[in-house]
Amino acid sequence: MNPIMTMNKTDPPPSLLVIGAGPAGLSAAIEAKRSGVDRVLVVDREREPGGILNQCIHTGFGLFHFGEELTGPEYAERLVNTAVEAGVEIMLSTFVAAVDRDLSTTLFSKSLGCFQIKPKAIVLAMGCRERSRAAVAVPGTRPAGVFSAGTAQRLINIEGYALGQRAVIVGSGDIGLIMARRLTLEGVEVAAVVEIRETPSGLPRNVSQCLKAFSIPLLLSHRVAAIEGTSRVTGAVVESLAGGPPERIMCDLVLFSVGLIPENELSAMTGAALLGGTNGLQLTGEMQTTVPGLFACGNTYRVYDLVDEVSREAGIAGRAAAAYLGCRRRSADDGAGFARSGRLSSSIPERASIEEKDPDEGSRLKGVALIETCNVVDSVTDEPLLCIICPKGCHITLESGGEITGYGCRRGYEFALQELKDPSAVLTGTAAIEGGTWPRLPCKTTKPIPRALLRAAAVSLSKISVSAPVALGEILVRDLGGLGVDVVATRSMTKMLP
Amino acid sequence: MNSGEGSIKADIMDKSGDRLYDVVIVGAGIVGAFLAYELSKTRWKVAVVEKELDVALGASKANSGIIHAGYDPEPGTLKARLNVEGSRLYEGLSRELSFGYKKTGSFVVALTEEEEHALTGLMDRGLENGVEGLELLSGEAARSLEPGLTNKALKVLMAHSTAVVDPWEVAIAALESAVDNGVRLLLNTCVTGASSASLDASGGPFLLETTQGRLSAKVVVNAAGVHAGEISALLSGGKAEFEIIPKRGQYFVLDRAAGPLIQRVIYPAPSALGKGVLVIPTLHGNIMAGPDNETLTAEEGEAVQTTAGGLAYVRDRAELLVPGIPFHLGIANFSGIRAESTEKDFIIRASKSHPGWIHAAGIKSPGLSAAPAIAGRLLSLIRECLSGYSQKPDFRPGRRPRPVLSEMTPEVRRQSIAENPMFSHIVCRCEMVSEAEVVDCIHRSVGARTLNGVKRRVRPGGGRCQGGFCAPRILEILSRELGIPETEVCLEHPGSKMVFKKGGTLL
Repeated sequence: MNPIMTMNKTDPPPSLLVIGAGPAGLSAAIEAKRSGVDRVLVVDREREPGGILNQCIHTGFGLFHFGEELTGPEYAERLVNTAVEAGVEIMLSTFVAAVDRDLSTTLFSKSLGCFQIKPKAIVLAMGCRERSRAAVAVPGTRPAGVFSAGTAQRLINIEGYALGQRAVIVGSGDIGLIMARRLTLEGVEVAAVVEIRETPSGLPRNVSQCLKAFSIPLLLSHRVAAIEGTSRVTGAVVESLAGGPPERIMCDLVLFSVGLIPENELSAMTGAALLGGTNGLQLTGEMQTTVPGLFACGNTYRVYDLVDEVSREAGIAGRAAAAYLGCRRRSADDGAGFARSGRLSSSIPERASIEEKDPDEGSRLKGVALIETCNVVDSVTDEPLLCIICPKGCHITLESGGEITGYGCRRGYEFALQELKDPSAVLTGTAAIEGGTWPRLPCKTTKPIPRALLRAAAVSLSKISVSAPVALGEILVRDLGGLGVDVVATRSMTKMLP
Repeated sequence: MNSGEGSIKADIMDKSGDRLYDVVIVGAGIVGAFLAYELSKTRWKVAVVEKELDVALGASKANSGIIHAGYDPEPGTLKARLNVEGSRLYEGLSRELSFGYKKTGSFVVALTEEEEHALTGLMDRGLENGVEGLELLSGEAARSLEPGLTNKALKVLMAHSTAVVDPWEVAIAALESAVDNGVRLLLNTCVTGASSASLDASGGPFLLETTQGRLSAKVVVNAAGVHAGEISALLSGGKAEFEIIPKRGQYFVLDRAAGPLIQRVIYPAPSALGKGVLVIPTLHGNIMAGPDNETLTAEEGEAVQTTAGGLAYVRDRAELLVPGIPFHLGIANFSGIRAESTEKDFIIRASKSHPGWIHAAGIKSPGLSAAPAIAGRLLSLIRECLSGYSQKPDFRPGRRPRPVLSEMTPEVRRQSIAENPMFSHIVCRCEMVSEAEVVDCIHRSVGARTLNGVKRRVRPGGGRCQGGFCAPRILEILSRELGIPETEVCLEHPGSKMVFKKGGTLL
């Protein structure tokens, strides 16, 4: 993984420049290259490709794009490998400072200094940024120990820091929910997730598997009235919108998960028309901006729920950019993206929709199926079960007759069966790694383990220590804690050069 | 290494092991900074003691950043005289010390007939104070200059000489030059006790107890801002000559994307509560609105938190002057303290009992504007009681300019990168800051020791993402350049560590 391509200033400019080596940029680059573009160059300011996926060490990615459930780093590594095999060039530690309307691009890199290139087409794939505390104007002091959820995710999952012992999470965005679970598994007590609205803003499946599964309190219709502490944060004052006395929650860590906004500084520089309200870009059905030759995809266009959908639409952008450059896809399996893309041009939802996608279109179960082994459940559940397989969040019910209803696909049905028999989940975390490019190595159990044992297993998992290099999928520990599951690396990591 | 306190151990002795200074300035705020700069031109041995990990962290840090023209203070007061004098010095100082300074001009806006009268009074006051470039405009004429101004403006007092600065940059610049010229800056050093030896007429030398050890001074200047009352009380056995009544003011800072709503500083007509809520175009192209004005108790003196009520008040008042300010584009809220005192005017005088113990206290607005002139007045007071005044022949004015990648011409940029490839490593996307600039700001004579210290100097984290992207990188650079583990790097105050236990979990 991670080939660092070098470029000489004398090299001819790439036909297509892709800005950002996250899932959007890589997916677009792969499709463009496969469609016959001669030189596709992806640039990224990070030391590694993969974008934000590298810090999303949890599962829930890839069900649609790769047909199996992956962690973020696994998804990223597959894309990078595919891109390299396809002949995409990737240049890292390279920062794009400016893009003009005529596509002249100014870049900075440690090896090349400041330089300019003028590709024939560009795909913008810079991703998004987190709204900060100031965007929601939470009053109080400004002590250490207050982070946006994604920054905390990077510091914990990649750089291996501990940030505190008792946390309050402001806002119930997906990253905040994911971090609530992550902190809990790291031994941090999450005192509360505080959401000003009546409903959680993250996906139902994340509320279910990140909060409910760990009994983390979710305070809806509450707000943080003040953050306290001079040097380090000491507490958060929380109050109900319905009135009543404010409550002081002692904590030494506050995370903000109050929304994402498209990264649009480069987009704005090109003069491409932006979308009012969401700060994203106005695109045609072929993911083209209002500037000729300038395409966009991923969160820089609009904020998505699901990376699989990012990859799919980024593929459209890559193929459209190729078509713009006069290249047509050679293989037979094209067209799918274009056929579907018509809906993108009209009213654009804030969140991506996956309704037309189904992981098992051939084997779809219609409506109702009888539960085969009714004896595993002897009482009728009161609350419907929320399916966490995909972001749709189907409500599955076990009827009094033993029928399971309400699921949308076979995977959902199987999930319900498993949940009713034996609730379990794949555990993800990080292991210590000696001599690697980072101090922690993301890893996961090879099979789900019982939910009740997740916390205990997390302790065992965090004590794993290995040495670089490590390959993706390499077994780090066999039979973790006698649970009958192995722990495998979810990314490869090379030795750090001394 | 003093691990609990942000790893800064001030060495209070000079190279020869001496702890006796001619002048010790307590407080590295804007007044202490300009005084240190003035004193660095003399042969006297001077130290500045500061309890924080950086300079200008009290009232000097969080204020409106305006160099007021000087029409507001009551004629005949120190405030009036030193404001007008100080504001005239700023432009030259900005070139000498290379700090940002922009003469924006200002409007004071009358919305009622009563306020119209007040403007006339203000104009007369300004003329009496010797302010040049004042003009009364009709609301219409004012709106043709500032289309963002409310159409309810009846009359406007325009002042041409009003300017904006970054207050902490001014203090850093003055202190950098002072330190380059031999002044010792002792950070993380809190004065906890004082006594007077009364060996000479001035009452000195004075012995100061600090958290980093003892030092002595022939003359002490109390420039401790909101703590000036406490410092005053140290010597007089617990009885202060005056008290400080901290006032809090809260502000909004908007994203540059909000656009140039206004070109000039917009004031409401003044009231008994002070200058009121202003709308300010900052040096960096952001719009700022504030402050409110809230009295704090002594215990709350440094509790610079923002409050929902205070921010709402600021929003409402700012709207009256410039309707339609896009507050949803806020990138930061902050609150600052003003060290008002029980006396009406600035307190710039020797203490009653000891001529060598000099106060510079109650420096509220227009303290920033007046600071260079306050320093001049303090120098005269010091000369009255300290012998041996003479100019240092090798004094070098100014400081090495800071390299700013985003302002370089392509040619300079190419050359800078060729000399130091770290100029091509961008660590902050919002403000386009390179690693070289961050490293430079850490190694200057008043170098950054904290994340916020880096942010104030070179702006990573001062942009719209407020450090979400760059904070982990700045943490790494600070750790590397200061030679301390990441777990010792502080955000701002002593003890404000960012992260714990690298490479591990709490489990």
